[in-house]
Amino acid sequence: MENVKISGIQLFLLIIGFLFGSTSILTPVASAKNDAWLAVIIGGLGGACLVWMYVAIAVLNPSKTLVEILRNRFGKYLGNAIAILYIWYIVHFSALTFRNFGEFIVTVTYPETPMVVIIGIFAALLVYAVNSGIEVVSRSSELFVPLLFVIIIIISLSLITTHDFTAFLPLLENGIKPVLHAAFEFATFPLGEIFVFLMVFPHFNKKINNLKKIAAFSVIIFILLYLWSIFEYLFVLGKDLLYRANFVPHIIASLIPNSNLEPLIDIYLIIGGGVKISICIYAAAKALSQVFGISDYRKLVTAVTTFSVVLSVWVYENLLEMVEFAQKVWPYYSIPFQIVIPLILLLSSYRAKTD
Amino acid sequence: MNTVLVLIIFAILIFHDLSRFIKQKDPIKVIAIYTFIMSASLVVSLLLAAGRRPPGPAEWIEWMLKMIGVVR
Amino acid sequence: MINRKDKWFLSTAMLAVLCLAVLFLPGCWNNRDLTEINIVTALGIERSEDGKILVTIQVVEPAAIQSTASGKGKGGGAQPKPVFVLSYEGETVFDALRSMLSQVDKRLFLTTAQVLILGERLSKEGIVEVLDFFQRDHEVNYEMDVLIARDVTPAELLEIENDIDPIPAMYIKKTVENTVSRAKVKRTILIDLIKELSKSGRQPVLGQIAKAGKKVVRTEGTAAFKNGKLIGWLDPYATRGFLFATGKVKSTIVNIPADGGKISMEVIRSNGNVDVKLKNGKPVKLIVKVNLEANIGEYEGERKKVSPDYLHKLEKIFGEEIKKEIGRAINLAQKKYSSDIFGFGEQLHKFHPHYWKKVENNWDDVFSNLPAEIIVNAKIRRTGFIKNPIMKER
Repeated sequence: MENVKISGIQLFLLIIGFLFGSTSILTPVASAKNDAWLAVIIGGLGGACLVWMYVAIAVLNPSKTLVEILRNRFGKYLGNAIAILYIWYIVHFSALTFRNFGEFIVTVTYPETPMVVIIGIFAALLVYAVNSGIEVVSRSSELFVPLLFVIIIIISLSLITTHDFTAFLPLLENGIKPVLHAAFEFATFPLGEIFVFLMVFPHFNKKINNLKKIAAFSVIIFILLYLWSIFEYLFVLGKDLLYRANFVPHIIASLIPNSNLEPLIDIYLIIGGGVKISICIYAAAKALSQVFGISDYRKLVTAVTTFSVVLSVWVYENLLEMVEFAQKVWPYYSIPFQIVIPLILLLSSYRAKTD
Repeated sequence: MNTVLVLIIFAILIFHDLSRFIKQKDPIKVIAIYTFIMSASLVVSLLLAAGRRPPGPAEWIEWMLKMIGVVR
Repeated sequence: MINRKDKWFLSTAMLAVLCLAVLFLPGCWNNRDLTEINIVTALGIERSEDGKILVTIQVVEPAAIQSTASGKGKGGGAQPKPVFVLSYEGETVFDALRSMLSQVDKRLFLTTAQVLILGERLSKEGIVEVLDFFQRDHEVNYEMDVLIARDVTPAELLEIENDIDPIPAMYIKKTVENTVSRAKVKRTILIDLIKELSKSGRQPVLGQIAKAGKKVVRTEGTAAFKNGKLIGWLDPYATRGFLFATGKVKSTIVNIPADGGKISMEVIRSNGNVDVKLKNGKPVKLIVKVNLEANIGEYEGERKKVSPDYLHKLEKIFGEEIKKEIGRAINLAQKKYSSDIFGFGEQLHKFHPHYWKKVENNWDDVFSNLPAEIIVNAKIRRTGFIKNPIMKER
């Protein structure tokens, strides 16, 4: 393994950027309408448990990547087979993220540009970043991700006059079921996706125990910030528009009085996507190279990215399919990858440790 | 037109990478995996460019989940 | 390591990429310069007799505005008109806007539209359908003002050329915006209208605009809706009562009779809210609470000395006057239109969701038959530069 190190603050910002990836443009809890905030809290707790599980796996298997852990626990052949499934899953969801951002940009700013052109240009940039190494990705996240915080704060402060602070009432109008479904959605997208970091954690340069702190801290910060944004969406747009809108943050940005900041803000919202996709591509290429015993993951980055871009165009025919898939299918599709296999890994690693 | 564009882009990518692999004397499995992924992408994008979209992974997964009975 | 030849290749490649980037950076695929678009400043929508949509646009010509601004007084003969107005009939709003290009030269750019005027006939048949385009399209500004034209078509209003502002749309917008200092018309921006239309337990209201003369408009009064359809009008005083009750008054002048003359009160601060009182799970009365502060703005009475006690007496009269206006608005909403424009139902929906589920479908009837209690707490704080009117020295 090449000797690349990531510092604590870089890891923190990478996780935040990753989590804000698609959630900065889509609202996964919107199906809970005015109880969306409750879904964020419940789903956040569930998702935090998932993240805790991944971190525990990383701590029990220090300086091992996901592929190595899988091979250790399941044996060479089964481990590699599962690893390949994981690679498929990672590539698939990087393709979905590409698609999310492609649809976003095409809908809000460039309606006549073919989406594949936008995704292609985006991908070319990310290939460059990933080829330069995970270190470069994390350093650029150090530069860019703090902007996301600034944007969220600026938007919510500039809209303070248009808030309706009782918009989240009445509580649980449609019962608890939609809330739980939305919470589940939120736990698997984006929090459960943190498992990808099992490919990145080995690069962490401090003691492995610090990892717990950093992961906990970043997840808590993310959940609080997201809760803040959801309340803001509810207060500014109301439940109906929150439910109907395709890209809520863009509408929110366009409502800032006396200014047309939305193009600028749209660009900032893409930052998270950049971080997310580059980590996915890195993880997929790295995992692929480890499965087949190739020394340098960089050789496969172009191939993985190309496939991911093609997949992103191929995977849906229209925007509503994308939304429907993210809400209905994605959470269940994620169960084996985000919950079942990590749970087995955790238990068997724990047993191996105590034996 | 679209097909030609797809072919040109893929030709550039594949030429660039393969020439690098050969120059650096990479093991054959690198080239094999690379070619596999790239040709899969090429086939799909040619089909897409020709306007004949094969059922995508979203549909497979939905179908599989429907088989198990998780999604209605 | 990179050798010199590679380095040379790399820098050349970089340069080429940068040059290519210059081609891409200036704009998007559908880039259009200012000279290639028509800047739409106002839109009017009306339904024609045969059920089609009649869209009127007001387009501004930037060059002409410049020449009118600098060329005033020169008396040059043929000044280009700063705006032109055009109507077109289509099946839908979007259809009309696009088909209109058969008569307009350049693409219509909607982001700059400041005002949307809806026609009376259209409003009576329902506005929800036509608003879909304005939510969906990426060019529409969610902050434009929405108004209802009364006794006049939107096209006639948009054709008014005013001397104050060369762009009529800006003139209209400003007259609506200045409601913060008079509170005689409700200002509604598009996003608020969209939000209100979807709320259960609240009917939207929109500002009213009418023609006051050949060159002027009047934005006074309010249109009340019921289930997305125009149901009637509130006169300026009922409008103010409505605005007081919903806490939307910033400042206004209220005249009260006193001492054989009149006093103009300048409201400087006001907040109001509505609530429903429940007893044994049934609503018993509607409550409107208004707190406001005012100054004496003009005194035309016969009294020579204004004392604190007298101010307290005035506060009572003042409060009664505002109560009357609010009562008028509630009465119109309850008895004449049977439409809950105040959002009493919304309060029930938010704070008593169980009861609301039962009453949701016939809320309008329940609402119309509830007694209303109006509590106005008015304070007179200051009297301006002087205390008393002119007194002859004795």
